[in-house]
Amino acid sequence: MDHAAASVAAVAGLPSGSLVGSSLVLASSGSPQHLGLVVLAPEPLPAEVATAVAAAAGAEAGGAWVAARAAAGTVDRVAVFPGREDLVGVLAARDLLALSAVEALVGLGGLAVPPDAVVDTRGHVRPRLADGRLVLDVQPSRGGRWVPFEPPVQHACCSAH
Amino acid sequence: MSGSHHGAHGHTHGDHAHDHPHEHGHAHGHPHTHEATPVEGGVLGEAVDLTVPDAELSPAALSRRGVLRGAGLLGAGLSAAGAVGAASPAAAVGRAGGDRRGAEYRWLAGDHHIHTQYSPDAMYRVGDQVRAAHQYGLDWMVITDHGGETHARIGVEKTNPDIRAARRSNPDVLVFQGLEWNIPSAEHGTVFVAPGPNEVSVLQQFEQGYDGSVRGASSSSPANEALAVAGLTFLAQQVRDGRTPDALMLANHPARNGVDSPHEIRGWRDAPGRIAIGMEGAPGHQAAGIPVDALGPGSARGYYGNSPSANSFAGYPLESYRTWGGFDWMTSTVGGLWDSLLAEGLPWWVTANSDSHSVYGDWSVNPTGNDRTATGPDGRVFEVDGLYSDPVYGGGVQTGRGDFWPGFYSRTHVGVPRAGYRQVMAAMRDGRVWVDHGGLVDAVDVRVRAVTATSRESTLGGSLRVRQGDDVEVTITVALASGPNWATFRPELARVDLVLGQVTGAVADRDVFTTPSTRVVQSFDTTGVRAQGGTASFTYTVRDVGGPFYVRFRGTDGKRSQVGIYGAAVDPQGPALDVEGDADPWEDLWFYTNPVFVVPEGRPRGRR
Repeated sequence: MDHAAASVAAVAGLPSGSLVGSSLVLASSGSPQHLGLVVLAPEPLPAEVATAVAAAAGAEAGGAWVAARAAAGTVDRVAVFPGREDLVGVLAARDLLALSAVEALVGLGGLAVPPDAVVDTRGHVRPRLADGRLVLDVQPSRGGRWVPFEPPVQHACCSAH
Repeated sequence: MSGSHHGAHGHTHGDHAHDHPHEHGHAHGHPHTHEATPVEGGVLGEAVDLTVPDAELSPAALSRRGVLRGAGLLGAGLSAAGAVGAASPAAAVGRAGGDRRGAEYRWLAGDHHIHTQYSPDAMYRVGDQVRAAHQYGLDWMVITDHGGETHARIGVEKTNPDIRAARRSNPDVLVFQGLEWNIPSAEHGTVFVAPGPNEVSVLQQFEQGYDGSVRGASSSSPANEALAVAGLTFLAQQVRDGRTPDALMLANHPARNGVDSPHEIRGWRDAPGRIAIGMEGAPGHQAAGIPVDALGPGSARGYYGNSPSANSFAGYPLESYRTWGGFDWMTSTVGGLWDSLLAEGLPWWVTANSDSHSVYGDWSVNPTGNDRTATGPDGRVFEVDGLYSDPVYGGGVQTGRGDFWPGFYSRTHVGVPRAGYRQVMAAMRDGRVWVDHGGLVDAVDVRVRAVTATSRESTLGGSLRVRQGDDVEVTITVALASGPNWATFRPELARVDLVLGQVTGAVADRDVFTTPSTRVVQSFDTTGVRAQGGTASFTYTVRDVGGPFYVRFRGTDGKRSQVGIYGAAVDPQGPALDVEGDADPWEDLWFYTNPVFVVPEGRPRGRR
């Protein structure tokens, strides 16, 4: 889904301030559970961007449902958001929030994230939109640092399939 | 973020859920604290008193009775001990209603999740794993190489002579043949059979017909879910037809990728023949979180470091994707998924295994580097021959690996009347099982009996029948570690917790993964036990039993804990979230027992 988001973000004319991400679309009659591409833009999309979105998304059912959730302020995973290119290396939490559209850090499993937390971005930051706010789930890591919940690379369960 | 939205179209992914590691979608749920209801008052009342006919019950009580009947907890269910089919504590245990007091079992340590050179991501000979298991004290083990095209075609067959040879050279170890099933629409699971003339053909037929990878059925869909149940039904048929003496299935690393939904687990449990009996309470790969500065791989404990995918169950919270004190969230959460299954009054047991592929600190390597198409020094090609070349010296100690040898860290203890393949399988189906990490304790013995009728008692996995209004004693006897573990230090048990939950019957929502009544009702400080000789018993009494309930125990070295996910009223000192890249498994040890059910029925004693 990062590829689809990147292909949309690469099109000149994507309005500044747009969010591109994905939400899980639950199975419904005739359509298995899958991910739906979401583009939230502050103004109507230019034709060339709309074409890129359509090309990246395919034609599966569930788009309307995802759109309704997005309109209500929920996107499961956001890959493109303002300031994402500045979220690299190790950052103070306040800098991470100042540099990007991410508005809050949420500790995994109810853990409190202190205001002076240090976040190792590992070069991979994928927040979610919750109640209209862009939030980043983080978990404790080595040396008292925090890292985003989502790892840059998923651990393959085995190489058999 | 205000403004219009555009182009929210779906995009479908293929069948290979695990091949698309960068594609995600998740829903987030926040845990909430709920108040525990004391069981002593008895919530089911006259519903469980079978001397009151249905016609005389209030509508509410009649409804509750129906729930209990549905769960197999009442009447005929209890007297039908040993009946095949219905999943209920009564049908589950060999001795429903309780054992004669003082029944003794031999506890055999084992591991049902071990890989060899017949897996595309592993490397050891069968004989290497059996020798290690024997060396590290295991009495039984299951060889579970990955299901897949090559394994189904040739590997499963070629493994068998190696297993037979290992049985001959290690007569003290029961070596089962199994496979790691790619459960259609879900995670992996151990499937194994009792030795016999058809052990290969049953496994091979099963794998070819029902493995998610072989059948291209890994992605989440109702059709693939049905294929999984069909696979379990096939195994039950093989047992019924006498083609194999027994077959069992256990879900492996169930919460790792969020793809084992609660309704799928319930579906496996409820499939015919009770082939599916439980899940890994703790996954393998327990060395994976050893920090890099301690010369470890610095990954996530259990390799539980992923995030949701397109195939994940949307209801699972993010914290379910991590281990807690080395255990899977389904098991480690008091009032969580495991407890919600037990609260149905149905059997579902937990185990702990190594998932050994390649061992942390070992010296040997796979000469082809796990390249399935490469030719090894002896000419073997995995995809052609079904196995890799034998391991070779790697030129130095291998610190990037996340696994332990079988028996080195994780143990599943099974209580049998006498040693034997079928006895181990029967005891696992009965739930007479407890698990530990790092040799935390030598022995755990749990007995439950009515205070006024002490001639009968139940132990792990059992169902004790008592009279309504009875007082019930729950006693745990722990024997501390008498010697060093395989890290060569003697662990010290600090605390034992008793978890108690009411049995509330079948659930309307098959995807529920919480239950409100289960909580830690008592903690026992064990720090003084060493000075008293190293063994001690602790008793908790449940007064005036009114409805069915279950009890289970866990114990810890007390080194890491945090308030449980559902709050301090439910679990004041639960296991802590394991820190990615900084999880020393030897400094965070736990044991867990399976539950004992207590089912009151009939009129109270002494009252008419």
